[in-house]
Amino acid sequence: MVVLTAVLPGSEVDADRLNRAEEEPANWLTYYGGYKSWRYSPLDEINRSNIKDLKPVWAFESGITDGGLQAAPLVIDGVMYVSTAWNHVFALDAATGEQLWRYAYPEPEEIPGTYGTWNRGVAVAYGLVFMGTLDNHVVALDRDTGEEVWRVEVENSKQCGCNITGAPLVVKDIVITGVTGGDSAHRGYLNAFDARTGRHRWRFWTIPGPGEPGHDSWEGDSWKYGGGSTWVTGTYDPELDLLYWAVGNPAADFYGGDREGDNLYTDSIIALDPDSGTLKWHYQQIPHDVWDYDTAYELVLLDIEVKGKKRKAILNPSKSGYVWLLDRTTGEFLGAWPLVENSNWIEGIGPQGELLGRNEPELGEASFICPAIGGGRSWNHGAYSPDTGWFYSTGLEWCQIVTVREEEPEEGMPFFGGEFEMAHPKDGEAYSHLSAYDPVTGDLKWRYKHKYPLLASQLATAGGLVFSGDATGRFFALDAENGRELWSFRTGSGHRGSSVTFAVDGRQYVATPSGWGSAVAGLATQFWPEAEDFPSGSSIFVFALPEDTE
Amino acid sequence: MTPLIVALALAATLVGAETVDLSDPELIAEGSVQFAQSCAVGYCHGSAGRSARGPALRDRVWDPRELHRITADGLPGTSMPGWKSVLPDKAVWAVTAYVLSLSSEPPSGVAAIMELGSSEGPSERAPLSEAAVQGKELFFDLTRERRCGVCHYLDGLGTAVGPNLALAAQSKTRQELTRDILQPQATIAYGFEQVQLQLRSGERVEGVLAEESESRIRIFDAASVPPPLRSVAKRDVVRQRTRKRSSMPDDFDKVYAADEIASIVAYLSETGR
Repeated sequence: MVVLTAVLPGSEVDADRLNRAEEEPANWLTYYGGYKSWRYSPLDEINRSNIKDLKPVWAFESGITDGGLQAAPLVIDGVMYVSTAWNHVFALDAATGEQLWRYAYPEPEEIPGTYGTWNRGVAVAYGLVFMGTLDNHVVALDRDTGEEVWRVEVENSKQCGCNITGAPLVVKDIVITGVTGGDSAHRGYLNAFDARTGRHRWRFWTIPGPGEPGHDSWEGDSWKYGGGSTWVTGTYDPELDLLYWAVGNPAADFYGGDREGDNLYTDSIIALDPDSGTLKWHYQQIPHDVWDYDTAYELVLLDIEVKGKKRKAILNPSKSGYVWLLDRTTGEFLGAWPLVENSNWIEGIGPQGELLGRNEPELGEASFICPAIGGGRSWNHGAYSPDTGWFYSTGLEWCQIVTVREEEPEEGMPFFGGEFEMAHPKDGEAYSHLSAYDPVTGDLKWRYKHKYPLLASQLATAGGLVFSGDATGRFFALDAENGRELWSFRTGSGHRGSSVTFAVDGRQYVATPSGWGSAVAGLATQFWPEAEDFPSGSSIFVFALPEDTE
Repeated sequence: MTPLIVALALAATLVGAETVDLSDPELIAEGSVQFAQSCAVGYCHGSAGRSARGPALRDRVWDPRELHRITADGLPGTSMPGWKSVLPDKAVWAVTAYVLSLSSEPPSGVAAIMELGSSEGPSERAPLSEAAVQGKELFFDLTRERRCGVCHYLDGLGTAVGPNLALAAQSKTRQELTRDILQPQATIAYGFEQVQLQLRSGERVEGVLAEESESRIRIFDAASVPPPLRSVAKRDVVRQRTRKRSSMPDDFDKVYAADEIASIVAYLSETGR
């Protein structure tokens, strides 16, 4: 059992605690568990030798089932904070599940339909709980009572056709939020607000305006409606004092004829000065994307040896089915490797990071493209274990038939530039897997296969375990060394969120959201009609070992 | 009654009313285009209603009026939006006709004749002049961080922090509107005098009062663009006063060029007509 006493429990969550979140294994302090975004816990009370005894200790049902439950709960000093679809937030006693307070965001008259009503998590700091909303506001709640302390509208969501589904990120004294809108006629951004007051600190446009470097990578007025969303939470390196965020695809998604050029900073990793929001470096993974291959997924910080040289690296899985590895000090390309076998959008990635043999769908033609729009992986996050040195991630083996059409942008309206129909891979049925990889070379260590798309995040622990869940409602634990399933429990609804682990009074708990839903989950029904009957849900299940087991 | 008589009776009741025929291939084709842009897109109902996040729509049996109602009004409490504020009723019926054409039992004959409702689509009013169109774009231009729409709600867009300008525009000349923009302190809209809160923490918050309850004050904090709506516990307020000042910034001559201000004034003026 790891015991760390660097921080007094119950003290305020401030920049110092956030910078050292990984040193508080009893808590799950930030969305990814800490700025390294490892989704790893050094807790080892629950381990591969006793996992068979793991039992549910409490369950909580929010009742907000539309859209499923996609969040990562936070646990801080014995209290769990979890957000649901429609922006309800619950504070629960983490050991018993008793509800301490509930906040319900007022239901807006109109919501932008494209990005759903779900929410993927909150951030906690300075006595406040922060959340982005389904109509593009940011709210801050009193951590003890759930009372609203401030609320700010980022932009009229009806006009922008965008909202906030990702968890905010607190860095120092600011709260940073991304935005959806990558499939709308919208210009993306990141915003930073003073955490205590909600006052705006800075905005970084992910698409440079006239006169700014990179603006000439857009044709005509296409920059105004070019997407570039920031919908998945980024991260921060306190040592380098750099804020990292991965930027999504350009719009229109499939039709690029009106936006000739590289379309910066879409499908890029950006590194910003967190105090000013100014760009320090960027690396564009997919210039001029015409496949809707957001690279807007998690950014994992790894201090790791690459080709014999110790590197401060950053790893970024992408919807394209590739994982990129960069030097996080400079943005230098260090390598890229595939998560999936079914990939024909490019032939590969060259030694300088160049995309080889681009297979662009043709205007008006039906083009067979892999992976499908749901991605070679969805946004749900992988995990890195320092014990094995491996990265654990899901992969989706599915394809689509895309028909590209010209489309005029209309501000805030969907802007896909085409339609798609899901298709099985050429050599067999669509399926998914959860696999372990060497994060530098992509060498496959083991593979756990599943019939339906695996769409829940992974959680790795020092107990030699990798937790995740499936579409049918099974929450399971695999042996981190060989991928063998050691334990499972049916929670009643499929898994689409991020499980976490924590401890209260020295006892380790594992918590998982249960609640099937989301856009990509819906795509499964095109392959497996029975998936339409997979029930939605919105509950938290918490597990522990019986108290007399050690 | 024979089908013929039913048809005649129905036709009689529909005399004078505009109708659509849900089995009309042209209407279905029109609906398929609208469906592709608005309903199939990305992650909603999927290409040709094959399903995605929203349910599969094809191969089902529908009551045409119920399907039209759901399309027009949406389904409260779910992600299904209502389309009647975006599309005219005929377009909503066209989408309905298209979805019905994917049904295992598409309606035919008289069962496919529907009466058009009064158009509840986008409201129609006198077209704006060229300058006013440009003014509207500038007012709500999302590519600018500073813009009128950050604090003013109009035409269903923007944010309601400051006063309702549609009302103001009805009673003001263009000169007065120009002055209101460039010299916000000259006249202050009723109820929008600046409220100043001195907090126990030493912080001072100035802005537009939104709401006051027994225990809390909600105020738009004018120190920031966009202004956050802050909720302050009254016990944390040392002093509260109202000042004969507007919280509107007085540098809009630097945000917009003179000709742009003129366009915005044209927009306001025509909106208030």
